[in-house]
Amino acid sequence: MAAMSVTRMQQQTMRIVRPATRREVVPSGLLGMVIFVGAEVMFFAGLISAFTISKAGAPRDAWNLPAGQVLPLASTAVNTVALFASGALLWVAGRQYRARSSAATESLLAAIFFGALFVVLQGREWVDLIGHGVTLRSSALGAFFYVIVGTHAVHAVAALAGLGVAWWNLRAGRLSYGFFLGAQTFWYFVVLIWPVIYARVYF
Amino acid sequence: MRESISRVAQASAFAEASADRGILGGGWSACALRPRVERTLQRARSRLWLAAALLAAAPASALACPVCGLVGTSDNTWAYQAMTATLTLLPLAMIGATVWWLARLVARADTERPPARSAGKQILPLARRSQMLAGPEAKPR
Repeated sequence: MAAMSVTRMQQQTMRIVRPATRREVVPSGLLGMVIFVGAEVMFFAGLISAFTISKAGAPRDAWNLPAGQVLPLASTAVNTVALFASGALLWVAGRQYRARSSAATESLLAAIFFGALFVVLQGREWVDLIGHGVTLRSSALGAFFYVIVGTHAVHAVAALAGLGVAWWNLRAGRLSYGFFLGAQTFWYFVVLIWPVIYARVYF
Repeated sequence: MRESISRVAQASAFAEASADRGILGGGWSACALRPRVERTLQRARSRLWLAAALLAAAPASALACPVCGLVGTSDNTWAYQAMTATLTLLPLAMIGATVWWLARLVARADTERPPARSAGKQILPLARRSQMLAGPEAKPR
């Protein structure tokens, strides 16, 4: 009698408390990437903060590159245009992917190309600067320049690798929406943090 | 100044411990070291007073932080304050934006699908639950 009543109670309880139906309001890959990007934003904010305070505290004539060198403003502006073009193409790829996933292949590849162009052109500038004696140890400005811009370049390469994997999987027809959104978010971060770095470090 | 305070504190603690435990030949008052310890304490106290007077008379020189509001150029004071504000507000803004974004997504999902079917456990009123657990023949209280 008691056993029957316990069984019935269990049945009734199961009927009252239905098992949770999980629903995904945001893909886990995207949420994880958003949290990671938040941490990266703070990392760059710390670097830019250190740069700003050091620059403000340094004597005016001491805050420059050795041998009268200046940071390449104009050519970096061209690189910046390439980076923005890459971001815009990725936005287009996102829209195409949502409409019909296979349609995004070409625009995603173009976004990767322009992103890679930005990294290569930045690398060429670095080679020029190093050739003129601007190194990590040459001055405080040189040290900050290589650390901040170099860190951004590392992020750009990592984000390009993510976009490359996304493109490969898209071609093979096995790209998940969450992965695409994660890679897209990381690249947007790389694109959008760059103007802040450019404005603070180069000017 | 911190060193002087530390030395005074150490010497005082040593003297008190010695007196309490009867170390140094049975009693602090008879101890041969007492005049030297007291002289050291006196000197340390004098230095402490001197440091406090200097701090009161010339706070700008005594401040260790070169970018605080009282000293430094206007440029680095501004940079210090602006960066402090940025590093304080930026994480709060990001957390707030993320919470707002998630809340908006959840609200949108709720309008697309009724929450009762999708929000996990269905909570019934307590009286109704008691009645269901007791069985259909039981009368509600």
